[in-house]
Amino acid sequence: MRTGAAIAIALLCAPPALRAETASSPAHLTLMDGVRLRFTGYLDAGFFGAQGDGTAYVRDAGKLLHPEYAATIPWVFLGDPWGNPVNSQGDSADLGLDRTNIARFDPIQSHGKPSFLVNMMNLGVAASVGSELFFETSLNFEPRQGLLGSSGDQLDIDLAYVEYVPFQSVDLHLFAGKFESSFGIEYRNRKAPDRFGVTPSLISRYTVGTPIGLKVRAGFFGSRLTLNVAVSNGGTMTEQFAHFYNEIDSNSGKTVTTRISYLLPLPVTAEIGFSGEVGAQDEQPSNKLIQWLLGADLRVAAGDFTFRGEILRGHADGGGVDGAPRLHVTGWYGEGQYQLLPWLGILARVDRRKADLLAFPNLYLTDLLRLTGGLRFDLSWNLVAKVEYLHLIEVTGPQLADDVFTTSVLFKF
Amino acid sequence: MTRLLLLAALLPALPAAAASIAGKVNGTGEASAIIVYVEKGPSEARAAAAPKREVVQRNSQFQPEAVWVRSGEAVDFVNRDNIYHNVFSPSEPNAFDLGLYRGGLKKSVQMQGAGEVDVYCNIHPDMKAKVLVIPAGSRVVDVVDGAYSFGDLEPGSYTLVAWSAVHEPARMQVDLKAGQAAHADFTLKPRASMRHLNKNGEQYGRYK
Repeated sequence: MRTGAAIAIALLCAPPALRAETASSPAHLTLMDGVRLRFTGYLDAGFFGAQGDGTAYVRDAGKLLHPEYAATIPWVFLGDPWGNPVNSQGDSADLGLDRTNIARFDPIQSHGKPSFLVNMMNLGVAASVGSELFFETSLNFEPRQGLLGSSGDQLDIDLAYVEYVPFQSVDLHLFAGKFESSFGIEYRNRKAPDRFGVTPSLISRYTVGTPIGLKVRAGFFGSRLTLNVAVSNGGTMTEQFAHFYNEIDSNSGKTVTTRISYLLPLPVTAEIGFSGEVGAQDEQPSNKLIQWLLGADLRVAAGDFTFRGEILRGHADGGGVDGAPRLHVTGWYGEGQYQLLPWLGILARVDRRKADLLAFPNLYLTDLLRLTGGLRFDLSWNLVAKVEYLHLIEVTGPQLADDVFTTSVLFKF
Repeated sequence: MTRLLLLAALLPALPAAAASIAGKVNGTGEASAIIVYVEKGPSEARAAAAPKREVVQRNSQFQPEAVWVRSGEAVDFVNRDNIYHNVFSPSEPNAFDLGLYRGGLKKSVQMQGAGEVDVYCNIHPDMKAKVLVIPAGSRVVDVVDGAYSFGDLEPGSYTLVAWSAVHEPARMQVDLKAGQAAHADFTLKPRASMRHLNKNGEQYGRYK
């Protein structure tokens, strides 16, 4: 007891750096045969309020605004059902009445009432054998109220991959399993602890999905030039009103996703990238229906300021024997982040998404401009609070009361 | 007579005729600060103490990317970014982990054994620095315009090392006689770029 007290006093009296060094300890467990195991995770909870009834789209009743569809499309909707997200995974404040015949999950159903919400509980496990073999998995849990006997709770393994790095001096990584997207740059920040603000961009639904397959990532010229190539069952889309992705493939055609990026030789960090994705359209049986995405991205970091931007164009043929959904989309976003103080950050973002999505019998016509402002408070490394306001402007079609105020308190370990 | 006796008494106290070593250092590849130091030699004790070294974390980079200290001296790691950084090294015998700390804070590490110390951040894999720990008392000179020079050396056997963060260290043995002006040139080869692991000895995972 005396020895323990003496050690404690010695540690308290030691200079800070010495305390820091002394306090360090392995952040992993070592299992049999030298397998290192590490647990990570986070809890993301918040409070949000949305204007109107919580939805960000409206029915064109009687096809008054789009009579050209009167004879062909039973339901026409204007706006973006996922344009008013309240959390990092992009859950809308409310998806409205289920007028569709497409299976979907309305995770929040706030009806426009302000509400507390546990956005996500996440548990990650990483294991490594030597320095060549690495395994990582991430388990998402969304506690949601059930309905009519359904639990409502969502459990999703969003990552489960093995990474093999065969060479010590060559920047080559091979992945197998369910891994991060290779399209664009937003996937790097898709999870709440990594995201500067609260909500995703309007085009994140096309770029941040975690496909199942094989991936190669290689760096050249001192990792200044990076090439990613993935072959997977489905693509990187996570569009929820009409599915354009598969975990288990429903056709024989695979999806190829690639991104090439270059770190510009400038005094600031400036990375430019180009991405492409093409494959048989997911969630339908034909190999002849094609979906594709093209995109470009830019990231510039200078001091405490970071700019991220992406532009994207996408298409899915639709049709076929199953009447698969059809999509035409263009979109972009530009996001500025400024870390004003070690504990205070400021966010500003502009998004645009223009799309027509036909998931028969529903047609969603979207032309949305969105302005987002936010603050971030780094209370400690483990504890972060964020607030954000999203102002939605329907560029064409009726103006909707669909702005969102949302917050997030994040504990990570 | 008195003067002669005085001179005779002073003679043993005079040093042997001072010698010098000078030369050029040709380093190919990426530009980086290069130093030459005396790894072994009779003049080690003549070296003055080095100023305290500081490595700053700014724009998610370590600046400078290479510093040297003598064994027993400390290096300060100052976070000048407004975001958190970690500082750790897996290099024995100077392995350390300063943990995560926010902008505006400083932590120090006292380096003990001679050798290279690779320094990384556990959450930003692109952050890399090297600390060279040289034996206590060793003399060091900067390479300026590709040249270096050690003056006022005692005769004896010297092991010189030319070092930079981006080159393989080069060693050279010089046997120096009294009053000699020796010449020793170095040609440095670029280091192979080696990947590094996080502080748990793992890949950095999805943070790439």
